[in-house]
Amino acid sequence: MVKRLHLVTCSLLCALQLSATSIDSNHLRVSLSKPQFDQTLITLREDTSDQDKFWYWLNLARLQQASGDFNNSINSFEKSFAILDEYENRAKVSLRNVGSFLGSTFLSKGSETYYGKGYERSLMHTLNALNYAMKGDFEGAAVEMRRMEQRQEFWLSETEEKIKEAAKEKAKAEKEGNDVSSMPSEYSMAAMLDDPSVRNLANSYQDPFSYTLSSIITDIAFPDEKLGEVSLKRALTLNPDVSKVFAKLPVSPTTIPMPEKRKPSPKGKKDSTPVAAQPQPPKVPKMDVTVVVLAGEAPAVKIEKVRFPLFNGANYTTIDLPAFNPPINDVSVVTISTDKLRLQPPRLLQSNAMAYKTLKDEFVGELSKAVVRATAKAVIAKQASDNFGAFGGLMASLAMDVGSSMADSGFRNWELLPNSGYLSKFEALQGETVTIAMNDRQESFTLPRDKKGVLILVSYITNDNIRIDHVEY
Amino acid sequence: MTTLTKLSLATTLLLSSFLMSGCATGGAGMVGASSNVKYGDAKAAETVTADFGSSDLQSTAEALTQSLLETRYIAKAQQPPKVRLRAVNNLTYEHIDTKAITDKIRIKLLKSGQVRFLADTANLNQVNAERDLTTTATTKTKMKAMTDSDYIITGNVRSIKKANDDVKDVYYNVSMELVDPQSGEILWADEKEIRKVTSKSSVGW
Repeated sequence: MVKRLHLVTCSLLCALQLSATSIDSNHLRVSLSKPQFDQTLITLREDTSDQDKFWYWLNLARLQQASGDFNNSINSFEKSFAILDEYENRAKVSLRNVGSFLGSTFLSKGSETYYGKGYERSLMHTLNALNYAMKGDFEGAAVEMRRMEQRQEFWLSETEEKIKEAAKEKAKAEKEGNDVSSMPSEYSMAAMLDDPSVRNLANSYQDPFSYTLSSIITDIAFPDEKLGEVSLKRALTLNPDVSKVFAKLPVSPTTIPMPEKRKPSPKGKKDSTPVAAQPQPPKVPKMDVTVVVLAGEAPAVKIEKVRFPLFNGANYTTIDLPAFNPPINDVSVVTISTDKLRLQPPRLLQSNAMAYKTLKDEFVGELSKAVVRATAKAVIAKQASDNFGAFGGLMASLAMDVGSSMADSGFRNWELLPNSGYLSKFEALQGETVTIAMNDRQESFTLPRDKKGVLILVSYITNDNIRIDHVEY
Repeated sequence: MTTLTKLSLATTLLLSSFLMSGCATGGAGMVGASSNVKYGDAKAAETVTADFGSSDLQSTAEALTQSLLETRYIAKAQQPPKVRLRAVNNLTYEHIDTKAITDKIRIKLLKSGQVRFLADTANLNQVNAERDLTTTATTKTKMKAMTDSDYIITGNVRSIKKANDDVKDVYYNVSMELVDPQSGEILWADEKEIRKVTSKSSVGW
């Protein structure tokens, strides 16, 4: 028996060592400051162990975008889209999906492959749209914004399935006498999931940031067609603060807008307006400025284990539930100022609230599954205890704990998704300086001349690692 | 410990390792080291995915060119009109290279000999720069002639996607218009519609 136990321990250790080759979530998130950033990007890019994972390409894409490498960021996003497309187009009865379902039902939450939640699936297109826009391809950016909206349809049908599945699981658990309607008191997310900012969200996958950006980008790509109006209305429905995104210059002698081209008068009618009545041409022409600030890193998913002693106390079982490490490196307020304007754009993207809302929506299903897993583990521990004694039971509990922890370590989400997004579109004078203040940092940008507009992307990765890119149009 | 119990434990362990490791792998396809390259028929129907592909490009260009050449403004023109082909707007869910559509149409129209093409507005600066190098051979009148087109051709590609658990349906609509730039009158318009349906297999990996 000792030999057998030795073999099991060795196998577990080997497997642990094998699974520890990639850059883990915590290491990744603490290696983003300026001195470490380039090395982190290289390490992640050269890590071949996770290239079949959805989250790997999303994390890489964000870092590439934040380093100004928009072409490679697009390539990385495309890889993650391909993984998701493959998942969405699987056979109705897919052996992988069945295996994943059985694994997550009976063994560990980490047996499930992570294919992103609704907000991540939307935002990957939003961020990729910015890649295209920064390359000056606004039509390509508009394509990504349309994809963002379309991706939500699949999420909705998938969510419906999950709701049905959760109802079944709940009924099954309740039939067996388990309470799955209240959260375990030891669960760290209990208070957060009940926060008003989470409860008040309309849903977990539509964000006003994406819709507002969609409206702005579409209007730049197709200025004559007013295609962005629908997106803007959706954004306003989700968050009335969207109206604060847009600002115009106060009218003053130096900022008189360019006179519009005079409309041709109807046939047979002479235009009697004297030419002298036209407004004077401006001394300095104005332009549209759009500032996008993507700040911080969203909550990172983890599997939280709540352990319960069994029988004589020598064995135990675990309830494992998804939870989050909090967001990091975020910006609490952004202030944008020019000579004539001082703006505080609203925080339209709140990835943390969307992550918590998703978890809240899925919680009953997750808890039901966790109870089934815990029961299965308890039965195995009891069998081992009956056959091998108390020590055998303890070893079985430990083996299952270590085994599920290994699987859980690979259960990761888009940890480098921006946690906050601020958006502002305003008028400014060509050539003037725009100052953007974020927390205690202040960055300045001189506007170009002879252009209709400029889109400025601020990637705030950490307080000492901020990059500003722009594109003129 | 009975043989049955041992077998049951072994099966549980095997299943566990399958579910924990095997199921966690994603589905990204990897291209193998060995590949097999062969030439295919450039005009054969391509059905790899439901995305806008080479077959769609060819059939669209063919249909719209034919329709355009049959319009009286071109077929019955005294002399081949000067046409400028504007970019086709991509209003779909895919990154379609719409320039490939306009290039294909331009080539087909030019080969017909029934129209003359002016440089794209995007290329106009380059053409002007080239002319500036040879100003002695250029007059302002000729410059004006280069910018005055008899007609302009514009277009849009749109798509509608619908999907349920079993079927994915994609509808493409490529529309083009021939416009008189002086009057703004739309002289001709036609469209090419494409519908692609993909269905999920019942059982698979």
